Amino acid sequence: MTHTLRAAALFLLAYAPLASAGELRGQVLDLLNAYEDTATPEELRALGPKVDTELMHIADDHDVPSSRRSRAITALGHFPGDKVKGFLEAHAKKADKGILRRKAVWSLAVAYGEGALPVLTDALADDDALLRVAAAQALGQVRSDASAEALRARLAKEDQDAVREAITKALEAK
Amino acid sequence: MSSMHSLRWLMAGAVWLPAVWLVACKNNDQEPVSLADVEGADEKELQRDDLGEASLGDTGGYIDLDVEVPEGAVSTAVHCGGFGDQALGAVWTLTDPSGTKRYDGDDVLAGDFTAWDYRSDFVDARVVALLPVTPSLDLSAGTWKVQYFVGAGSNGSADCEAVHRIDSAANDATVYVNLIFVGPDGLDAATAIDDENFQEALATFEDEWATGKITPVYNYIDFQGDKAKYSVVDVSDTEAVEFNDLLRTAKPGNARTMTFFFVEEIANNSAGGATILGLSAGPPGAPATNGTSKSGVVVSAIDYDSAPKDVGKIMAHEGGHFLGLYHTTEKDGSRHDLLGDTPQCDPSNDANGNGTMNSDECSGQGSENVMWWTLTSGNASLSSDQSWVLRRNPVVD
Repeated sequence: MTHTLRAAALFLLAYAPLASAGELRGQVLDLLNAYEDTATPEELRALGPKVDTELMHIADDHDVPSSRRSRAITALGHFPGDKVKGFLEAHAKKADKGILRRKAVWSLAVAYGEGALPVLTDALADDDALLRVAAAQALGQVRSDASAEALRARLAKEDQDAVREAITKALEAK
Repeated sequence: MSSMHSLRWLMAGAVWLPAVWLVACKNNDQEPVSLADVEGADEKELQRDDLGEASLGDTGGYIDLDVEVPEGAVSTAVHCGGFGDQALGAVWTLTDPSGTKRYDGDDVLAGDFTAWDYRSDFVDARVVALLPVTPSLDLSAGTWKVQYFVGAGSNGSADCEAVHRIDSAANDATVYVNLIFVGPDGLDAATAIDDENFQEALATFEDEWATGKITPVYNYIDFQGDKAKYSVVDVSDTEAVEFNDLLRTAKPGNARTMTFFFVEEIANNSAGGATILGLSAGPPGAPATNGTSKSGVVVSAIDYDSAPKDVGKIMAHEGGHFLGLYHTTEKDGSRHDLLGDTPQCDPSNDANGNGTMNSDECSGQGSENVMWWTLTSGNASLSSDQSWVLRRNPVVD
């Protein structure tokens, strides 16, 4: 019996991010549903201290359309912290949709700058060309010598025009 | 049931089942077409007046035009552009043939959004003056004075044209819609015709526009440009070159059509790469005008297979912008559209104090409208005035 309870507790802890929709769900989704606008950090923070948790729930909820899950991941870039960083790094490496990986890469750059370089550099070498474009753009946001070096190194071996264009633009931005 | 009856039912089934199967597998008889071969409304009902080229200084300047609106015109779109993707312009004043000023940008700049019969926000590359965008403005025949302001960064000149629709605005209107497929992977002109999810998106689009008495007719077209470049359209708060360039490829054989580009996503690189669900040229777009930065609408279609209704709602909303509609209430509640019968939701409704008018706070006050600023799950509709504006647009028949 004790073992059963412990297993159940561990299961609940492990899957805490996938818990049912919270009380903020409707208000956060309303912001993420905007046709043209992006949810600002101020609008999200005004909803309360647990917004980052709700954003992680939404990002992992397969019943929410991918575009809104991706917006949740983008918004997490405004809430830096160890838990969020781990969440974003995991999604940058593996996610059920390519768009989620792209947004995680961007969010890591926005929230952690140079601290995200290892993940961004890995993404810049990924097989997915759209992810490489996103990684180039994200590295362009970091604007450091190390990020420029990573971009130049990739440019030397990149063969896709769209990616080369993104890298060149990112280097010009620096 | 006798055995004879059973046999009859079986025979009937033998006849009908293949028919049902065929219907299930083929939504309609349509085939993809090339952009040159699209079906559209009668272009002879449009009168085009070349208004020439205007010079602009290094720091920008005004463009003053005399526009002759002919007898029988139900709408007129005057567009000036080609002044560059880095410069911003807006309609600055509008004066009707009687000499009455109907719009003054100086007033609007000072914060008075309500006194006039027009609205114009700063946009890049090309500005469209669409008349009318509210029933309170009568498009009388005669000389209209249209003044634009273009800011610094222009390339020195702008070309201008007026497009008049000389027709009657039908109670039940049709608009020919070009569906151009850039992305996402797996969605193209051939697959979209029979794809249940994509057809559900179109059904939602049709349902929402039906409330405005407009019926779309489709042309399915494969994008012939660089799909790798445009499948994710990158924009930022300060430039939209990729978006503009994609719209510039809209050169249908019949210009009296409205073009939707479907892409995997639109990404806002000024906002951490955030996905934008849809973007219309303008608003308003340049109706019945080919090859400009204001010649269509771009829709993020990444959710077409998992949330098709949302994609249909994005089409209805962005298409409304293209044809001259604005948000009934802006996100912060500071501005409303010009129309008299659309509900307004004022900042006093911001119960949670986050500076945003959310859909619950504005229930019954506009959040059920197609032009509400955020996508809601319920059935959205258009008002009588919104329908009036849409049905007069030069591209609509």
